[in-house]
Amino acid sequence: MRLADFILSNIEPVLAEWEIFARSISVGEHLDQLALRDHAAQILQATARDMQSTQTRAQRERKSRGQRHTGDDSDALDGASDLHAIDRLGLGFDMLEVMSEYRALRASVLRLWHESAPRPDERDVDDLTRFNESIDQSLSKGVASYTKRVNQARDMFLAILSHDLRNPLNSIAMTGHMVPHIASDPAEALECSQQIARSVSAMERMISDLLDYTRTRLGAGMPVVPAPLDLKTVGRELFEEYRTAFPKRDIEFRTEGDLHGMWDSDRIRQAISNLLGNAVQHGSVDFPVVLSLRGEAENVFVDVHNGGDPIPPGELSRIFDPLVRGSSADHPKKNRPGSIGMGLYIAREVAKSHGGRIDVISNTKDGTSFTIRLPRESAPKAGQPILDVEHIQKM
Amino acid sequence: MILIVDDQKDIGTGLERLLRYAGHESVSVTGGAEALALLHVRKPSLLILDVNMPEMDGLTILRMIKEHDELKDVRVAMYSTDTHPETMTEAKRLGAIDFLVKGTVGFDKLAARISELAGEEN
Repeated sequence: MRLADFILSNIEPVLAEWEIFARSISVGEHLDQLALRDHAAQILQATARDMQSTQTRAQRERKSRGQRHTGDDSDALDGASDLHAIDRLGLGFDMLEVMSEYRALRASVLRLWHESAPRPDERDVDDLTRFNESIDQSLSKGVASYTKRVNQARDMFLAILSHDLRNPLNSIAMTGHMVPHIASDPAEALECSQQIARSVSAMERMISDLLDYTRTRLGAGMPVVPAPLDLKTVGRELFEEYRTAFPKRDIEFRTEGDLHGMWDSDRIRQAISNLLGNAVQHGSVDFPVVLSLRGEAENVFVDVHNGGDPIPPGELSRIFDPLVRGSSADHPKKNRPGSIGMGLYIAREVAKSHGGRIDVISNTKDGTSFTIRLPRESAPKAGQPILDVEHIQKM
Repeated sequence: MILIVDDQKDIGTGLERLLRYAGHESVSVTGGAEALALLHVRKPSLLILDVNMPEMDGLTILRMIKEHDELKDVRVAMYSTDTHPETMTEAKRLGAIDFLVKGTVGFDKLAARISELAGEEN
């Protein structure tokens, strides 16, 4: 059987191997079959059809130099590769992981073909060449689409960042401009100094979020220093803080079980605060925002719930990545004052750095719940400083 | 009276202070609902509107004002960091008389321009 015919007759076994490999990538661990397989079937079918299409010597030479010829089958392959790369980016796969899927796909197809013991054919070398060319075409299209989208997202992210920093900066500049006029009025001067302090701390928070983001994206992880902590105390303080800051909102606080463990107090506070801020910003004012803490034998669960419109299902997997989330917007999205839209990303990294995880459930009936699972005795993961000796050696 | 609508309270009160020292009576609120309620009580010589606000954005407020028989004559200027051409074009199409971009002109010039738009002497 020719290789293209073999692929078309054995889509399912190849997809099954693809799925196993995709699940072995950490991001794919919790994805369902549909998400894991994504556009793999279309890529395989388009690859086989492309291999079956007539190719002149000149076309072959051009393709071997990476210049593909146009045609329905080639276009279908590009289309599937493009969609797959964008979906993988949205799910949090990095570029090396996307490329490794292609490497595994190539290996699976060739191994399964070999195991089927095809009768030797003088056209085998030609088939292998066409197969490799098609996979390479799909891979290069995928990488190009992935890179283009990341660049677009980065530009959008920088636009949002500069937009959000400009507001407190403008407030500081305006208040500073008024200093000569208000110097003789102590009450006004005090109010102005408080206003400047608020704007400065809003900018500090944004820059600190940006630094955390950069640090974790560089692979250094989020540094955590676990120490004995009563989560109930942290939860109650945050509850009081948010109730004071948003007096018109109904905010509730519930606890259950033993809430003691070994965690980094500042980071846990940051994660819960981000989830509360997110719930207040996106939740409907007609429903309460509920912070619940529940202790079980091995883990403690932090749940923040809000009512209102659910997160669209297609966005659930990408809400934790500010780059991807921002890239789909035509305009810079509106962040909460003092935030650059990294709250969920940082909450996820805090959970991960404590050996835990964060999950989200969102639907019309039940509203939206973000739940952090924290192992009671968390061993810090990653957390080494950027560019220490060990890190440099790994690079 | 100049009415300022900005969800970021410090921006609103900062502009309110700037205009007060420039000789204008000014009031700032943080949301569209509050602004619309005030407009029915007293019409300002100028309404200054931020664009990106969570509960009701500035363009929606502008549209509501211009479609309201009793409010449509209120002079409205946008004051925002949103410099997207589509946003600026839409604001002008809806009837905004100017689009002031935050942080791009000195505050004396800003106060002078607002005075001019409000038609008030300062």
